[in-house]
Amino acid sequence: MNQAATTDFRPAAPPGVADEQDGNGQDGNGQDGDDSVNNMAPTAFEQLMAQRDTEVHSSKASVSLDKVDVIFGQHVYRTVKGVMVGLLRGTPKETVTGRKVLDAIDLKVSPGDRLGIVGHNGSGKTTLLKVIAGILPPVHGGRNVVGTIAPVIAQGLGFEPDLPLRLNIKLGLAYSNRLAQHSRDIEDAILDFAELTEFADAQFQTLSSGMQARLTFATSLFQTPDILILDEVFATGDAHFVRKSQAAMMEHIERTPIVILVSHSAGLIREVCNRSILLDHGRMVEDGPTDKILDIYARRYG
Amino acid sequence: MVLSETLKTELKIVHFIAGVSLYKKYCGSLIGMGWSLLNPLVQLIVYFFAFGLIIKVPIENYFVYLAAGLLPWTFISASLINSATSITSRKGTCQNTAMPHWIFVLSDISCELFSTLIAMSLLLAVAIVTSDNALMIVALIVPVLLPVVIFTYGAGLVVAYLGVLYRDLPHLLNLFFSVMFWLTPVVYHWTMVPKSIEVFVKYNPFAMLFGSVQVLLHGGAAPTLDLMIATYVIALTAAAGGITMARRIGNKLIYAL
Repeated sequence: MNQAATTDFRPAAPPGVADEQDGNGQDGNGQDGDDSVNNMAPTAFEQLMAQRDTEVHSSKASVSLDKVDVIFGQHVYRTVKGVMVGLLRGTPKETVTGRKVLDAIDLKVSPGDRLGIVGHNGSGKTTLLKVIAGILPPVHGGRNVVGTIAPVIAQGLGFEPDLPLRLNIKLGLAYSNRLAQHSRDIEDAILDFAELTEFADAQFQTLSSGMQARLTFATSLFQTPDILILDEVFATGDAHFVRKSQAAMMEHIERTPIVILVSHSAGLIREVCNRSILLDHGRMVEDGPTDKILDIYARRYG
Repeated sequence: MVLSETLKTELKIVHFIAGVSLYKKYCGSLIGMGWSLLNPLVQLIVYFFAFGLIIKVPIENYFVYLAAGLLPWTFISASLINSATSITSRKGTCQNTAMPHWIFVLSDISCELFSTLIAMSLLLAVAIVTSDNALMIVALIVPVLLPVVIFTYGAGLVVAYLGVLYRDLPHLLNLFFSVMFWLTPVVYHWTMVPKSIEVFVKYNPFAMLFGSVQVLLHGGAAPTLDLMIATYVIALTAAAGGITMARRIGNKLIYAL
């Protein structure tokens, strides 16, 4: 992992070891030092992380995309003939009009890869993540993923506004195919991490948007996937929680065999990723070491 | 039957989401699950008043006859109408999770099934008390109701996938079931219709599906083998259609959401 850049996205220091601070008792970003960053992880999270230590290097996880196209637009499925053809073929190949959001993407990701995806707005970064996560099936081409996958993509996990937090946590786990992982302990750990224990029985809609984001993030965090997919998820909630989340997520990243990250923050990509790809209008135009790709990206898009 | 681990996990999710739907449906209401009983009961009383007491339909033990047809009818029609929006109403969830879309459809139908079973258990109790063949009713109620349930799950899947493509479908289904209600022997017996349309009434799939329920619970007799075979053929055809669509289409309709 590239450690050259100085950013805020460091893994949490071991207990008892203080974060580096400047002479004013503040961290490098001029924010107040916060010991909770060091001690923020609840026991359940620490256990979860420790369990991963031995699994990372022996992982057989992989992601393979073969000439993947994604086309948003009008499908002839909407006509009677199109439906019949589609049902017989089992695939919506009959696209008549539409915008090619991903164009012939070939990609292989192996254990140890921390892949950054960069590109301009609308270049297809999030769509590519959704294809890898299995949310969007490719219109053309093949997708082969080995290993469990955890997409942390949207600001919601399908939470229901009128349900209490505990039930929403269970719902979030169900929607991410982790219902078997559910227990009262994991609920408590998630609520504790999100600092929402006192609101455990409140309806989700009664929380502020920042609190909702915290619960979403915490629910996403408590899993041990082989492939972790992150889409601009570091900046949720207030400054204190953002730092705490960043530290916890960095620890998570360290112990996950494959990490795929989309971010507009060059610093974060540089910090986390050892390999990056550059997307341009749905096409993968570069693939290589992060520093090189970020330089190309900076030259092309300023 | 040995289910794969993946399918077992998915069925547990179906069960959980159906529970959540029930919770949302009744949470905060005064009588909660009581509505599952009260709604069909009021509907039954209204039809009984209109057709049993005013029009005086010449069917003995008319209330049980009516209930034996109306409860499965309500289950099928409500389930299929809800299924038409099971996927489209969860657009946000579908676009942000890799959850197979069929899970939402089966969850919604399971929620409806639970409500129906509450009312059905009461009807079963009445039928057992009023019948001379209580043992047979107990022995045959599951094999007789099973095709209704299988048909609804299968047809619900078909309707749900088509509902993504054709947004008029829920409205069309409402109209369809309004018409079919009167073309299906729920409030009358098929022998009471004119000969010219008898064949359409007697052999419409819905009539056959819960005809066996009416024969068992109202008539206190075992449905004929022909009728049972017909109901299972209808149910398994619908199930095959639903499973085929779910397997072949998968989540590909997300582009049409």
